[in-house]
Amino acid sequence: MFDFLISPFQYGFMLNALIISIFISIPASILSCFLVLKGWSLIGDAISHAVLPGIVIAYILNIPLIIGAFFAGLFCSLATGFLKNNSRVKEDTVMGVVFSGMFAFGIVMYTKIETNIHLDHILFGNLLGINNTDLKFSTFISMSVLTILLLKWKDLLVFCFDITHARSLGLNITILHYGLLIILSLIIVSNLKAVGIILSIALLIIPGATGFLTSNDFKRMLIIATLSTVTAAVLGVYISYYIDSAPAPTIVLFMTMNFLLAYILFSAKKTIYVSNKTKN
Amino acid sequence: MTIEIQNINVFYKNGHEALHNASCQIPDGSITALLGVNGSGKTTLFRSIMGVLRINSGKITIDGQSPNVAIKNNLISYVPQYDDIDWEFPILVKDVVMMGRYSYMNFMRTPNPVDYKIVEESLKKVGMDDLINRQIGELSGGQKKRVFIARALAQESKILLLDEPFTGVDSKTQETILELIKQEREKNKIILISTHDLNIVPEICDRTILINKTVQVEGLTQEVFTKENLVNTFGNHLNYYNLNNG
Repeated sequence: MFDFLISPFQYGFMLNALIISIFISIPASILSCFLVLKGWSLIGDAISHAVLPGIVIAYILNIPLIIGAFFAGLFCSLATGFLKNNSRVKEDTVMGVVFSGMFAFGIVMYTKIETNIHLDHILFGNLLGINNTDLKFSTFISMSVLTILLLKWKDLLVFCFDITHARSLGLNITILHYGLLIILSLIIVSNLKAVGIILSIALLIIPGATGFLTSNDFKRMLIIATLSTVTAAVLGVYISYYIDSAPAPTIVLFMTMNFLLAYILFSAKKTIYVSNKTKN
Repeated sequence: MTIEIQNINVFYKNGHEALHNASCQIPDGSITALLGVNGSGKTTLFRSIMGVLRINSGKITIDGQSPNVAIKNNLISYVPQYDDIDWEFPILVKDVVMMGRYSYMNFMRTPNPVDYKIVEESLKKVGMDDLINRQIGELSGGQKKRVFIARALAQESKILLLDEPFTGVDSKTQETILELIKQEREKNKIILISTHDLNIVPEICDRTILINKTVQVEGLTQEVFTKENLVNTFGNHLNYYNLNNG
């Protein structure tokens, strides 16, 4: 029985998949809480798409793909900020223009060059093709980001909650704003190899959304977001072996189920609570 | 200590001019009312004093310092308008008030016993000490406002900016706030209140600034708060503001 349970992990690639999933889940979940509260969910979506041209250019220039991805992500957030500040168009609209333009540019370049990278792997990740270098890289980025988030979470929380108060405390709003964008780009880049562009969006939105539904205070939100995502990561990798599916989408399916569970358990409770309060 | 505002102009990005050639002085040890219709530039003036908005010309000094320096020296605390806060935000009453203490804390914002004590006292002053573990959205309008007053008190700044503190609050909360700002005046602070409630102005405000895209008139309330000046600032809206004894 025990042999049967651990059988997926006799394969090195399964074990790597499990380890990297857990390592990227933790900082992504914590970051996700800030993004959801700041109303930045769409920025994660935008930057994820915008990294594609960076990857293709990096391939052409023969530099690490990750570096191209990071700078493309950063370019997307800076270009969005610049266009928003210098025009009448609203931020979400500008962002839509920038990221779809960059994504299209990436696809056009991709179809024009001979490459050995699979578009599928960029879009959906290649969790089972993780090698030790990828593992070390993702772990390093994840742990660095996690350290920053854990050291400065209170400043980021004021920044998300009440920016004028953050200002009155003398916090540097510009550093917090761009710091959060850089962290976001780093997380997307570190997730890229494992879950790809499309599914890393899930990692940046669903944990925060699940945590938000279940919590009245931020620490609890962080804990629930992280635990639910790590659980989904373990279950996703594990179950995908038995049902012979791709692990990354299976993880996302479990994350979505967690969200629905939270919705059923907590939103229903909240509605009842509110209606009772109105009756009294 | 004074806030000195000299001939400031503020433009928004779309070219709209929010404040034109506005000048005024706000001295300490007094409560100053900032009065004007919606869109007259009250919040713009607040945000300029805090250095959140860049002024296009003119000068603001706070105790001789620029707003940026004053902010770094923890000189200013701010009580936001109701609509500026996301009430669904997962944060408890005690944590909001603790945020007032961050500028006294270390790099990681770890509170020490003094911070806990001041937070507790501030919550007691506003009568919210029994609701410290509530999420902010679970409070009534008046209770919500009192939490943010407590945060400003916990910040212990020399300058207190209150943006519409009496909007949507019950009479008990209004009494509490009025009593507290009178106490803060005794500590020789600068208190600036923007309000729609003209009736409280002659009652507690020593000075009045009337604003409509620019400072129309400023000075001691007994000299400035006249029907003629108010009609000039509020025009046809004056009846809406429901002035009892103007």
